Amino acid sequence: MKKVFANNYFLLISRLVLGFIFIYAGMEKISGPESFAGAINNYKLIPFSFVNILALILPWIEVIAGILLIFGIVVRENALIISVLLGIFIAAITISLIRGLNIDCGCFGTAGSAKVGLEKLLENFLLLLLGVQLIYFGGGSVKLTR
Amino acid sequence: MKPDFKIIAAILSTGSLMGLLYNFISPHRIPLIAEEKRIMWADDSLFTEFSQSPPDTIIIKGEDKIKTGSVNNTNAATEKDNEKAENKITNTNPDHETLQKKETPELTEPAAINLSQAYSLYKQNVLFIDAREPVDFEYAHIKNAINIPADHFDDYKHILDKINKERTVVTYCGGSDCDLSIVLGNLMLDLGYRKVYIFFGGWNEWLEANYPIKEGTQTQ
Repeated sequence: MKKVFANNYFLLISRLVLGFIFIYAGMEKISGPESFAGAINNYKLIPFSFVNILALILPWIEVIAGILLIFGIVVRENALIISVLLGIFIAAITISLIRGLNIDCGCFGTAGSAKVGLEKLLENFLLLLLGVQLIYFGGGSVKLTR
Repeated sequence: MKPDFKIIAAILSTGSLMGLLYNFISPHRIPLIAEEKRIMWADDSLFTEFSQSPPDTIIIKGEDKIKTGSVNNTNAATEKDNEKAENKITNTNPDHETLQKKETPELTEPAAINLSQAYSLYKQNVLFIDAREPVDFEYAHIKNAINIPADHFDDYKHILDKINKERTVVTYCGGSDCDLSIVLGNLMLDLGYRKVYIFFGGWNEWLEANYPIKEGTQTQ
């Protein structure tokens, strides 16, 4: 089993999947910071004054981590950043579900505008598994850079 | 091999810096510190004329109708259908709505009103909209109010189809520490309602003042 997860091609695919998803999610949020700030605010989890700063910074961290993952640069570190973010997203969605909030997920900025729900929870959980795999086994030997 | 936290710090700070720099040059720039929407308080003078006017003809049907989200407009045809006299307001001259239109100023943002202003509007049979969760609404609410939960606005906004955009409405939620009434007020303003007032004291003040409420409408 360990061999499968440590397989270089599996690691490459995990990097590409996580990388592209985070780049796409980040770009969508960068293009509409105001609506993303609104989406964060809807969760009612952080003080209103910090909402805008988070809406400006978070997407860029997602994009940078995504690009570095795809190119196989400092994979463990980026996978850790992404996994922590996914962990926070999972917690936020869970809390919203418990509170019964019917809000936009904001996961991909304004694109799709999916609501928070079990589907989103599962989606984030699967991505988190890929993240944990990359933290544990690294990026593998298939890299675009030497 | 453990992750290098210096590298993580470097990535996080680069991302943060780029985010802030991009916002500085971006056409979609937003302020770094989100600004709370200041609440504009409605002037008392705004209601003087209004309260002197004859009671307007906005009628909210009995609770059986409210539960289905139906709000009665004051057109004569609907009125004929409504044979339950007990919930009707006696003065049903159709001209009165026009009077109200003239006397309630249009707003560019929802204006907050206090308890006495809210009660004065309530006595004019202005429509009150409860922005709280359905479970709270069903437990108890301001008498004759309808429920449009601000957090589930998309699911409930069809109710607004039946409410004329010219009508004066008052939104409220739990009390001054909740912002659902403000959120709902702004959403309604976006939809074209121009006479949206926010009863800032909300349910708590109304209850303390012993004003009319409706309890236990939990059955669907």
